[in-house]
Amino acid sequence: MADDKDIEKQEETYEPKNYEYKQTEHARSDMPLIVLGLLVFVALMLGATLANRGIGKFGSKPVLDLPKDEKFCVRDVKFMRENHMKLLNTWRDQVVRDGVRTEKIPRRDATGKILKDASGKTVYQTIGRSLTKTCLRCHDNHESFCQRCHEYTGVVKHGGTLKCFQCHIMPNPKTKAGR
Amino acid sequence: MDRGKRNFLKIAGLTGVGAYVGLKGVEAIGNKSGKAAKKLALVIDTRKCKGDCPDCITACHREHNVPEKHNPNFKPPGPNENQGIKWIWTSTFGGAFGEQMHERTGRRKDPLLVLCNHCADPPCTRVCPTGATWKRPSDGIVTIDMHRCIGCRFCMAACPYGSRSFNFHDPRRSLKAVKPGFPTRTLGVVEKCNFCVERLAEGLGPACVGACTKKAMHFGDLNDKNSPASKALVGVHSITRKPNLGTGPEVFYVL
Repeated sequence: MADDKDIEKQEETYEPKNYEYKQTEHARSDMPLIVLGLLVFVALMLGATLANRGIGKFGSKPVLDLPKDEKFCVRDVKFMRENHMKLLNTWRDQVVRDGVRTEKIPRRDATGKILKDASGKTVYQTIGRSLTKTCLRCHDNHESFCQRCHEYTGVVKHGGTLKCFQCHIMPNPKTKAGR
Repeated sequence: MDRGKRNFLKIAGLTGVGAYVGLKGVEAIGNKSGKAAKKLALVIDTRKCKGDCPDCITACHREHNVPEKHNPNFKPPGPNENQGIKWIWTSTFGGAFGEQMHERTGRRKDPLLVLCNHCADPPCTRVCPTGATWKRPSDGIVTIDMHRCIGCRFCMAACPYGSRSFNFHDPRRSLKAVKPGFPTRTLGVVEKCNFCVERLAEGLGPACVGACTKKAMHFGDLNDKNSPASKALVGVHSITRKPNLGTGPEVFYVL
């Protein structure tokens, strides 16, 4: 009980000062400002949406300029779409580090069927593992193939350059790359 | 079991035979998988080459998209003209063979062609922290992986021949015409002569050798007695640069 009394005494001694809170006589309501801000926000958001209304549908894909002469890539389209950088990195290591510059891929006919010889064995063709001399020989329109898709997928910012092409020379659509 | 001297000798002998057979077997498998290693070398005949024509330098630098110092189009963007790139260039005789000169050597004033020596024991590859430069075991070319080079320039400090250049600026700014078959370099990587590794893969010889109108350069495998380089070294006096350093240069100069 003696302890409780002590605490009471302490509380008395530490009595907080009595501040005066003045209230402004004509309190201004923030409501108009809030409504105005909301309106500006909604207008901006709607404006952006409306401005882009005519440009493309939701889920639209970029139109890519595909090579006209060649029908088939060194791998199938799905693999290339998902893994072309994995393939290029593997090729890079094999060429630069191991000096293995070519590889064999199955030869295909006009319909995409893998060719087989009389004994039923797959017919292979040799291709160079080269970005400039193999990939870009067919995909020679940089702006409407590499760049367009890279911009669409956000790999590079609009008008930016992919690091590959700081060294590897971008083909000109008029002159085919490679020797 | 008797732990006598006789048994110990038996086991030791068997172990030795086993190890020998095993090692020979591993060696045989290793030889089967790879071809015999080459020792690529370049021989420059200074009796024919006086270093007065730019043919080989122009050919090399055009082939590899090197911004050329001798080219009127080349303007190093920086204040320092030593920031240029060179793969093959001319030095003075004394500059290249300083420690092999004496006062009666005679004053030889012809410029001398110098390039990367593709050393047998290259100091540049030892210091590389990323493994971006190494000596190819198959043919002995000292090569650079530009994708891995971080531009620390340790290799430039280690090379006693000054064969390596650093890209202080974007090389495309100084190149008027770009050859599409070979990549340019980018800002902040080290580059040097690659013995035309990309041309060798296509069965062509180095660009400098092909461009020499005086037939003063000979390129080939020193392990092959019939290669042009081996033949060019028979019966002549030839020296290399800074042999005292023990790097084992593979560029030979016929005097």
